[in-house]
Amino acid sequence: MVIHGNIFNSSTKLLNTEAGHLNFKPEDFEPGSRGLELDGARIYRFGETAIVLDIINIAATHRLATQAKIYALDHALRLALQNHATTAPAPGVGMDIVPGDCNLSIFFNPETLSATRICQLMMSCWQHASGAQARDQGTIHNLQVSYGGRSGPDLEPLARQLSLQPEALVERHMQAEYRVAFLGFQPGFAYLHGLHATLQAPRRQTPRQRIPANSLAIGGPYTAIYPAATPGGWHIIGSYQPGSLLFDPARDTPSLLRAGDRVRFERSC
Amino acid sequence: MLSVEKATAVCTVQDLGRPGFMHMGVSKCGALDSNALCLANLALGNEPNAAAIEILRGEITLNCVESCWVAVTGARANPRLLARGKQPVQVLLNASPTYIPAGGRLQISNRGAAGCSYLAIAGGIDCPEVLGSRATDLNAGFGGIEGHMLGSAEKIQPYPLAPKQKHFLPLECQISARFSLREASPDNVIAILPGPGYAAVQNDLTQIICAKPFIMGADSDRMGARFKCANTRATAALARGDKAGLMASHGVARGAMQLLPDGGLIVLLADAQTTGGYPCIANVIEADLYKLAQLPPGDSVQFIQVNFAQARSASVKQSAALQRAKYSMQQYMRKQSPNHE
Repeated sequence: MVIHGNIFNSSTKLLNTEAGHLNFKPEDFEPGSRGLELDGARIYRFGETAIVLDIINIAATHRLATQAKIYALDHALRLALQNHATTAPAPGVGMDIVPGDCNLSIFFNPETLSATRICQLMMSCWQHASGAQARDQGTIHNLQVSYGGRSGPDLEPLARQLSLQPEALVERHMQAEYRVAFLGFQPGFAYLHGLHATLQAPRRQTPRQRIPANSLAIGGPYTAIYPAATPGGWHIIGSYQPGSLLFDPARDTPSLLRAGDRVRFERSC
Repeated sequence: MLSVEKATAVCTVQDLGRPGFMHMGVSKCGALDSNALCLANLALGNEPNAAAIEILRGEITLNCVESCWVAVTGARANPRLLARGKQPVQVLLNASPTYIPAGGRLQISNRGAAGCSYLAIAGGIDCPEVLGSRATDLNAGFGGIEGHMLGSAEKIQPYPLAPKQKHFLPLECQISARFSLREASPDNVIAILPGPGYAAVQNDLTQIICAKPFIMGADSDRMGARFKCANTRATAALARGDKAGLMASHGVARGAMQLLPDGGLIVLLADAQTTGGYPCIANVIEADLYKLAQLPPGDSVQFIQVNFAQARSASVKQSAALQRAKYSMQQYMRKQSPNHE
């Protein structure tokens, strides 16, 4: 099966790939159906406006490596759609490519784009996505943070809860290199993978009414910085000393952090 | 220019929303009832996507400091130009351009503080585009008028009229409601498509959701319409889905129906976050989403299951009606144009 369609700039190599053995049937993509399984992932239609790829049967220890394949898929899709992150799509096209935790969704307008074509594109890009390649890529950010004190009120209680000295918690938190798994919750809010297993803690029983902007926090398996003030339930262990704002809608690239980027925390003096 | 005298409703500047930045955590936002927004704009000869005021569940009173042309749409709007001097109250027709003289006071109330109306101003509201849209993102605090709800003394400035509008609007003031796309009050039947996963549990869940009516919660807002589910069968079904590891965070958009661990049920709307970890058990079809903004909290809602073809045909029917309205407006304006031969 050759994938046609000028909407995807069919000159792109990826789209001219033979995908004949995929055994694609439109009914596989009826919402509510299980979809189609392909190379360790399930591709299905979600409602009228989304196509989702979900990696299946991931061992807990392999989530980081698995996520690298999502970065590769994200990259390939953006290339194929000529829909680079910094430019908004034409009005009415309204397409969004949204990485999640070991999954990726494409949101589209079914009146202007064909769901079948997007499914085919997803399948083709997935078959060519190489996690090994994406594993070594990603922009590196060294972010200045301060731990504890007034801007990290949960550092000591959390350390007690985890049976650690606060300083040991900080050391362990700083040692790791993190990777942006995906963004969500707020503009510029990046869920960082790579938190040491001994630092993972369920969210607070009672969420805070207001967490200040730039708070550095731990929630479940993730660590993150809140770009703007918000209510929230994560443990606040410090704050980011912004060199660059995490999110600035007036900037060419509004979000400082992107899925696949690498983050290291450095103590500010 | 218009100045807000008083607003009890959630009043925001909205257009058709801000797609393209979900991967950066930016919500789409935009009008809850997008067809009603387009219609208000079309009635004035604006672009369908022009920024207008969304009035959600409540009342707004505006003072028109300078004269302007406005059009109001929305199922439960009761728009009127308040009495001044010898002039009695003038009721505005739905989706019809109305001239408001300088000093006129315009009041729009959603009946019983329910429903969602749109006030479009000829020219469209002048405010900066942020990431390609003028829609207010209340959570992020940008777009619209400085990213917040319209409050007392807020000033709203329209763009200057296009030449074609200057010509046709004065001819239009006696014409009765130009467009009517749908019944004044939507019915309470909301069609859903079953969710994609949880194979063993999906059928159970769909049956539970469609078995009896749900009451729309008073905490429903632009982020989502909220219901209480509190069904032990549903919770048990979910627990099985959870065991299968189906709770990883994923992209979500308006229409997604999430079942929460506390038994709550939420249908995400325009201001929804871009990713969510709660299981999505169904999707409200595109054509029925506006009902969740137009129905008042406290009303009961009956979910029914449809198939994909039914969902699409409902949606196509709606957009065809809008296209017809757009076409007839273009035809009309061409006819009124002084250059028409």
